[in-house]
Amino acid sequence: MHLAKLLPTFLAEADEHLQALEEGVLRLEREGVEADLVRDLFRRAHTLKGSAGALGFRRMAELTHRMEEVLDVLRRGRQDPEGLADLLLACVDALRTLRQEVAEAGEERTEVEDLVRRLEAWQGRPTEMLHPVEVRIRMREDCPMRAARALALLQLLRREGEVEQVVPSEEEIRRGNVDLELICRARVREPEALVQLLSGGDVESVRVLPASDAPRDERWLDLGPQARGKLSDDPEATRRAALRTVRVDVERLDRIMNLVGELVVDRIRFQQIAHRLRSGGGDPALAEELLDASAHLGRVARDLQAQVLKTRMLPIEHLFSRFPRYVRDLARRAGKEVEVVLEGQDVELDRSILEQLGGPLMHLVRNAVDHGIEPPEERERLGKPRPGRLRLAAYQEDGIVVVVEDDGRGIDTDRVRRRAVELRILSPEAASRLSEREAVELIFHPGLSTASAVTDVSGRGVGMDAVRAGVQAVGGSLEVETGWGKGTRFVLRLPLTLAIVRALTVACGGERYAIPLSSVHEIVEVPASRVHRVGSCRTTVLRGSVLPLVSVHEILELPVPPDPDRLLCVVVGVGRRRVGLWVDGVVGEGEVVVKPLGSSLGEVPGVSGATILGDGRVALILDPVRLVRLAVREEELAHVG
Amino acid sequence: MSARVLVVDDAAFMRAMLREVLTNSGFQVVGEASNGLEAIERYEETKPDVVTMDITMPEMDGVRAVREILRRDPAARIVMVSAMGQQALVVEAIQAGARDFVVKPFDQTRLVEAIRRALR
Repeated sequence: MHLAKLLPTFLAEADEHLQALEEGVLRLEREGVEADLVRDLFRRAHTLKGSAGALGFRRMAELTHRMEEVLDVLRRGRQDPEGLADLLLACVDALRTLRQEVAEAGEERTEVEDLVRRLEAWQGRPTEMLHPVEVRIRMREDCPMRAARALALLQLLRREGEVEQVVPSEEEIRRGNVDLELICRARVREPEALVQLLSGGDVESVRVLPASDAPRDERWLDLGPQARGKLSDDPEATRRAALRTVRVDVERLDRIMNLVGELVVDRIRFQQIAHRLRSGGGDPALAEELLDASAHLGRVARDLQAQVLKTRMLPIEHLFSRFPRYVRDLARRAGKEVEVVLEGQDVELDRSILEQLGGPLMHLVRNAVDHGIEPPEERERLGKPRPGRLRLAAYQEDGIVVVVEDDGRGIDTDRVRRRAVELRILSPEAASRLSEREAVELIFHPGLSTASAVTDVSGRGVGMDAVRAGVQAVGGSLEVETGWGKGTRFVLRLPLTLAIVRALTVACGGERYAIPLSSVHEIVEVPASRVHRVGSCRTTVLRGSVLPLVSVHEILELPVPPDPDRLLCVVVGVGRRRVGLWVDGVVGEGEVVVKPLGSSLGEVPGVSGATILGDGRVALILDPVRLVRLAVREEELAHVG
Repeated sequence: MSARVLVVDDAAFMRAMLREVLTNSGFQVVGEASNGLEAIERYEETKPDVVTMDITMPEMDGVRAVREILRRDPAARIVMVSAMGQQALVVEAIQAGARDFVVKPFDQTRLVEAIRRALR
């Protein structure tokens, strides 16, 4: 058998071993050298080495071999894994990169010599102290070949210890994106010797600071391998999803789901035929049999639907498992100590929700580490345990609930109020009238949460409105609870799936529309006398707040009928924004299967899909997030005009 | 004891100049090579403390020679001597393990500094 056939197996296995190695190394760092753990790590490195070697992946084999040697030293009783966790994690990262390269290009591209050397050095090195430092090197204006110089300086520094991070990153330097300054976080043997070593020639100045004293540079925040990606960028989840699963295109599942929808329609037709048969004087026994058969068809269709839905589900572990490492890196950078607690990892979520949840969760976690959890010294002073606690939990309630909770300093609502006044979001009077809850809600205000200064003032901030929008985009909601000095808890309520939604069915102009219940707040009747017109827009005042009113006709750009005496309005809302959707009547509520609109229809603003109702009628599903946006914009335009 | 240097450059003029500069600065030039292949041979023979390596040479260029020498002796110390406009190659050489570089035309102090750093 040709070895290439074994590649997929190797790749999947490598994933599993690398994940286990990463988790193991983190445990090693946390709990110290423990015989069973080291044995397991050793075994995994060994297995990887064997398979990589058999397939001719020389670098992976070399690297795992060296890791094995190092682990063997630990196994034989060396008890000081100082600095080793970083090194081993770097090895795991490199192995992942190599694995990816092998999967995509069929060959190894990333060099591992540097890591091999460091592993060798770790082994041979008598127990020595490495001092964490921040080194700022400034090159002269007339320095030729800056990129090459920067790399040479970096190599020089590497020989003095371990370089943990560089700004700009090595990758950027290689691409020539380097200015005059180079900032490195490193752990070195002799910090005192660095200035002399690095100075001279094209170097204008060298500053070496103990890492703990160095001013925090915003740019560090952008360094994490995870932090770098965009919100929705999620290679990790994709990688893990490959594990122990058959790869099926989600689109294919969507198509199956659609076909199931067709079955439901056919079933309804059978039922109708049976009723016609009976009422039209046909054989009642035959009609009965047809009804039985159609009921059975209905059950099968429902089961089929449930199975397809299950296929779309993945345990939230796929998302959670990256956080221990992510938090560790963040915490280090921020000089914090953080303990991560994961709960409910086996709770399952629709794959597409899971994929879109990564970004918002990462933001919340990052905020908690950066701004929520206090530095260890401060915590000690406050009588809190030194390490902060970050809890990520998932459980099933109505839908799925995900909690991100820290025991840090919480949100200072007074400061949030002051900030809102400073930014002219609220008048001082309005700000002081706000309840605590309402004041906390301000962090989701787009004006407030994008103001970067808030980050330091309120302890929360960057893009919280974007985070909430991200959660709402998957049909969820995001709430926050906080106690000043005690901590902050974010609660995400998510639907089980995007393929089926609970919806309110309404009638309008003889047509049926479905509105996802997750965004329906209430249904109110507004007398025509209380409807105000501003330009072409209608508004009313509901419990003291202005509520824009929109009719479905307007949204779909159909002629709008004259206003009746009383407008029946479904109040939908996203965040703090509310819109009254004016309808002819409410038909009922229930679960509907979401079918995407055909491409021939294109994008209809305010409509997210279609569904087939129980009676076989087609209804458009309205998209509240978009509706609110449309309505609010028009309202603002009206005010301007 | 003065450090032993191997000078690699395809131009005889350059080799002579390097030899003079290095000797004046107290180094001992233990060999010369005019291309990469020769450099590897001389390296094996003389086991120098440090090598100055030109980049563009016939037979085998400096970057490949760096790789080959380091493969045989991972502790080898090599300083690249590059013409202007060869940054990409210098970057490659450094990533392959060259310790430092100077850009032609170089002044004496720069070269000596680079070699001293490489020798550390």
